[in-house]
Amino acid sequence: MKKNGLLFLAAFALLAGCNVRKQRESAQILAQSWPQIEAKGHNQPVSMLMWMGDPLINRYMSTYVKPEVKRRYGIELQIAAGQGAGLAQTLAAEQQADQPSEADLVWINGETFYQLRQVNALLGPYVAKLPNAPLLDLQNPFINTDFQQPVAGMECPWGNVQFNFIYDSARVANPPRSFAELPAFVKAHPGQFTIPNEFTGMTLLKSWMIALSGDARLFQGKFDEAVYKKWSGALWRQVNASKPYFWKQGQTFPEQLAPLHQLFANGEVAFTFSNNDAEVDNKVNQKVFPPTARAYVPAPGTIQNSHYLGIVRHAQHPEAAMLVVNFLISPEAQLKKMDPDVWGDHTVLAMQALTPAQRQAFAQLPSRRYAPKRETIQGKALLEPDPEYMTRLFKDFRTYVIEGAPIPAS
Amino acid sequence: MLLRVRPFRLLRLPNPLLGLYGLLVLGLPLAGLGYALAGSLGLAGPLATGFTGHYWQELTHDTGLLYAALYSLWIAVAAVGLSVGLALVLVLRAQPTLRRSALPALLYVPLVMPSLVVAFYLFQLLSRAGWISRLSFQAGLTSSLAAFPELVQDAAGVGIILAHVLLLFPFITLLFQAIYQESRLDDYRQLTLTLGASAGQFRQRVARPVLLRRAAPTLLLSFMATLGAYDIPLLLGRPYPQMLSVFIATRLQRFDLRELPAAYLAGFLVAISLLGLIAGLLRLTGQAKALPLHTTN
Amino acid sequence: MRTRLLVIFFACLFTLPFGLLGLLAVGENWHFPEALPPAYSLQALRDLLSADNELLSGLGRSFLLAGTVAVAATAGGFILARAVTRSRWPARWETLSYLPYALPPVLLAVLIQPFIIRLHLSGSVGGVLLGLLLIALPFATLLLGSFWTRQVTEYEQLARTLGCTPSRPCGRCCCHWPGHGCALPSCRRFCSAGSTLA
Repeated sequence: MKKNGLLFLAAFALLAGCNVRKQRESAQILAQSWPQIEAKGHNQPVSMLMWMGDPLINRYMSTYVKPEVKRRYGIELQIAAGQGAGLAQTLAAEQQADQPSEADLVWINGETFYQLRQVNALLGPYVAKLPNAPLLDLQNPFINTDFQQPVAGMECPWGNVQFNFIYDSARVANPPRSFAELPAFVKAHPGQFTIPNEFTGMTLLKSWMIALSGDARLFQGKFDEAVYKKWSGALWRQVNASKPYFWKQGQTFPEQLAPLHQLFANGEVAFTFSNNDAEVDNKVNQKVFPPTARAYVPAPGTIQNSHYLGIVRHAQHPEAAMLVVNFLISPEAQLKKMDPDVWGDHTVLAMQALTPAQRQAFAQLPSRRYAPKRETIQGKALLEPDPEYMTRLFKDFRTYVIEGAPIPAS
Repeated sequence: MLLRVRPFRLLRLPNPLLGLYGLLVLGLPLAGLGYALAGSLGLAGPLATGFTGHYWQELTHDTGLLYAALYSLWIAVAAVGLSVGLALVLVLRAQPTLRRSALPALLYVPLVMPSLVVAFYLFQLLSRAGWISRLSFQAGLTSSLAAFPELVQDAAGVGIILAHVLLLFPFITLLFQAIYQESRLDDYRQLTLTLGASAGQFRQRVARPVLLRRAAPTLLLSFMATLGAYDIPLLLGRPYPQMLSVFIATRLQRFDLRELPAAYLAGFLVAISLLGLIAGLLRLTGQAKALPLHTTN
Repeated sequence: MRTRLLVIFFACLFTLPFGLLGLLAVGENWHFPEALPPAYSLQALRDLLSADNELLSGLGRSFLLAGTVAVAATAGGFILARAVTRSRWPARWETLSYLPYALPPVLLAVLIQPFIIRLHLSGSVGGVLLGLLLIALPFATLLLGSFWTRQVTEYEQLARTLGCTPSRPCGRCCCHWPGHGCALPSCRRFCSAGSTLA
């Protein structure tokens, strides 16, 4: 009887508290010189959490990055899936328990960066410590600012992409060239268009809302309730007017991007979307999309943003993680990443900071065949607004479009 | 029933094995429930702000949870009901087939398929651009994609129910068959026939009650598993209405961490309701067990 | 005849998924309304099986974990079911065994995560095992509970009177329950639900 009571108490005590492994202070880690970091990071494992939804990206990581960091530094890179709110919750729970993190390195941007900074889960500023940091294009506002938040060395730019429409040119001869043309087009071609209820779909809605406002500057700086209410109201009215002409009469929406790609590949819808302006090339190359698939950016433009690498404040191997980041932003790794047959997104390096030979290598990359050239869409790039715009759009898209609640007068 | 359990009396159990077991099945889920409750009151979670009743007050404006609960109930009742019905038909009407042919071995095949794979398969089979739609188009039965009926991501959840039935009914059939043999129902069949009962009477008055009562715990667990299913409704369901797990997961994974307390609240209420449901169903099955059975061992 | 038809029907029903998924794996540019792929390629399979891919090691780990959990849960459930039947409050223990199922796996995983982290089990095999056992062990206990009837207890007592040690009646007499084969696949079903915990 007594024995069992003690057993319960002991186990609950274990659940409630537990021993804490000694943490190293961020300042201590960052005070080290690069040779010290290199020495400490060698032959360590690095656990990286990232979005793993694209086979080509996974292949780049497993067949190129992993062997390279192993060869150069003896680092065992272990990759697992983790992103968004789930990632923020896990890191926050580890912080609360004052435990060393299971993750060292995380692929983040936007609202996840914002959340991780809110819960103080990132190590930094660390970017300036990297020998390859001077090569980064940190003068570029699409790279040095993440959803209106200055990067401030807390995350390292890794790649840059722009939202685009993908359509099947065999089925749609003249796609809508602007957001203004979109409602009429959807009405004339019922069942061919839908909005994925996830990150990419929200980027579409942000671009559409900015287009409706006619002034992208309204969405710069901190979140503005009045601006949001006015233009999201206009957006929901326009979306709801087109809803009966969406796929399945707008009674349902794909919850993920992959099923929308599947619907597009199967020919059930004529449009899909991507946050990576080169994705159409690698999907056609993989024979997932028909060879008649094409990508474009509708006027007045779409969101361009960057993705970043953060190091976890309570990482067990922060030095090794820095070595991996430094490799990932090396001209060699960035060149490989920009190849449309490999990943295809745009580099975050400043071309003028590279050697002529490196510049030439970037210029000689295989050309995009189905996606628009970067130079032609750069003029149509919009800055990411504050993360609050996306969280609100996500919530309100469900309320006013999916569930069909009445839209309040703005 | 469950709510009346007095934990201090459990501490007096003589068996340490049961103590450890209690810690596992009681400790972690209760700790989780406590965390959800604390989270919904602003006392736990990444951005805990301190005690607030705000999220509980907000609950009155949110009908989503109620819709999710009703929709999940419908799916679970339909899927488990259909599976049990099919299994009963097979076990009670195709006994020779189940004993002598390769059918039992075949019934193990769906058990090796993860639910996500089954969902993906049904999506590829039954969607408007799916394989059956293509065959029907080739055969001239339908003239376009849109002419094919909506069998997945449909309002009634037909696709979700089909996926669950495909996974559940072979399992329940195997379970019923094991009980049928173990309870020597064939001997009782001979006996009832000798005593002048019809085959139908044997099935209705003897075999069916025995099978259902012996399998009741497993059927209840299957019902709960279907109610809490995630992968299948995520792929084959609609964003609205959602099944409970998808509803909660959507809230937990929202981009805004400030919404987590509302997600914890939804989770807490779902768990408490399911506990109530389990207790109610157990009381019902307990009463059924207490009834005199025509065939006792 | 009816037997053959039934077997053929179920054979088709259960092998069709493998056929269709196989075609999807090797088909290229397969779009509506084509009933069969216009071209075939083994590239996807080659990528999957390439040396750098972790699929095979993952599969191996899954088998090992699933096997360990299935064996542990079945054996543990067998012993626990007996302990539950003989405890002072068998009905209460039965009710308690349902508690882990009141929380859908997705919710359970999120809610117990802070405790798993505090137990230093986060991201470890031990954590996954604990999560899986939390679902599989009560299931096996409930499933095997119906086995420990008064009749079986009487058999066990009889065996002991005839000179068996306490462990032998279980091993020699009681394990030969015709339905025990059901336990493993059924545990697997719930293990797959519990994979969310990983």
